[in-house]
Amino acid sequence: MDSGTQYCEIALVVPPDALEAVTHLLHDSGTGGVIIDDDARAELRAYLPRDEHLATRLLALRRSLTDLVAFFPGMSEWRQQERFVQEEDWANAWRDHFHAVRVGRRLVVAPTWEPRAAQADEVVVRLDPGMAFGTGTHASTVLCLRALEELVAGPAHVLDVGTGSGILAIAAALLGAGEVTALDIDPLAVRVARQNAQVNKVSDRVHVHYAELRDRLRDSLPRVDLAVANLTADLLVGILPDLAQALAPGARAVLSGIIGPGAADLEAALAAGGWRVLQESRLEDWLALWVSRG
Amino acid sequence: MAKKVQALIKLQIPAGKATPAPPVGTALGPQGVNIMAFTKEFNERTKDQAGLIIPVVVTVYADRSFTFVLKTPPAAVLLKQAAGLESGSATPNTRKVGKVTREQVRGIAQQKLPDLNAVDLGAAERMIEGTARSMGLEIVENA
Repeated sequence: MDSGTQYCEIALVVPPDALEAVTHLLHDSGTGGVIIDDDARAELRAYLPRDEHLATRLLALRRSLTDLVAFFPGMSEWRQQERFVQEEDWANAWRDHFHAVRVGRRLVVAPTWEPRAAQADEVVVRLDPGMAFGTGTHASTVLCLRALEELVAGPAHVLDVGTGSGILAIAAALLGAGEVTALDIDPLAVRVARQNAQVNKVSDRVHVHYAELRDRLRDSLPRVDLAVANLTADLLVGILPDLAQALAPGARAVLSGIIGPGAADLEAALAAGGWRVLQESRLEDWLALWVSRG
Repeated sequence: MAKKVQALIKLQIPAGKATPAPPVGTALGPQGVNIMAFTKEFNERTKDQAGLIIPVVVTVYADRSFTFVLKTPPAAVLLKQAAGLESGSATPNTRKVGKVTREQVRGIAQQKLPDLNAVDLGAAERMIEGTARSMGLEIVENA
């Protein structure tokens, strides 16, 4: 990246009715975009490169803005501030917000770019946070990761409903699961989960499908030894009947993403469906339930 | 799982041409979101609208993941389309470059109303009218 470029930041406060006219002028003056904050007042920010055209452009812009007073009386009070900003490596600066986090007794979630040799007892899940998924350290995710540490044993077949970034499916594989079936109904999630499985070198055991649990059952999903579903209470209620079919006799499921009043509905649905709650775990305001049938 | 919203950011940027430079970098960088993931997805979703400015509202969550929605084109773009113009007037006070009908203004106000901070359709119409005049467009009753 060309880190030497300087930009002139133009910050404007304009009357709300002139917002569209002013953004138009900013686009026309070659700013390449405008940031709009119109919650209280209409505040705009735009940038011009600091080059030999800057003075001319600023002058023309000021003139055009002054002309707007004829059309928007409130423009007589418009305010403009300018300052220079140094181009930063914005494309990579966000990475500063992500660092390896130990989320359980053994599991560590680490960004792919951070060199980190796994300590003797550590299991490191490597993830690149992207658009749909953040740090992978949301309380409801952490509850699932801790459950997986306890429950994944031997070459079990694990089911992950609503896999998102794939973090739980990958963790299950890294903890020793023989096979993991991961489902999501968001094609972006399916793509990202597959990529993340590759990064963690478990794509041979983690199979990500663009499907609902119901569809997958129809395609004869073999009974699984453990299921994890980090969704929301209402979605969890919806998948319970299918989940019951997917589990092998005696198998357990971890239901997470539960917060607030939805918990009562889910517990009622579990009771009605013949489920037994084996354990409740909480983190911050979030609840996860370990359940099994009968 | 339900996620906590950290920030809502409104931008207007050219379709298919988002880069990590300002304003995208300066708007999203401090929020800690993956800027390349944003520009890639935005450019992909807007590639067939090349040449247009696209308003976009980015929702950033507490875990720094994000989503965004694309909005209707800016009023100036819709007005130019309505008037069949390439660009507005450089000297709108003295030189008129085209006409739009009151009906067209009302239509654009209706289309833009959900995205504007206007209290009602009347306020939105006045905003669109002012924008039209400031671009050197005359507002006529009938075509």
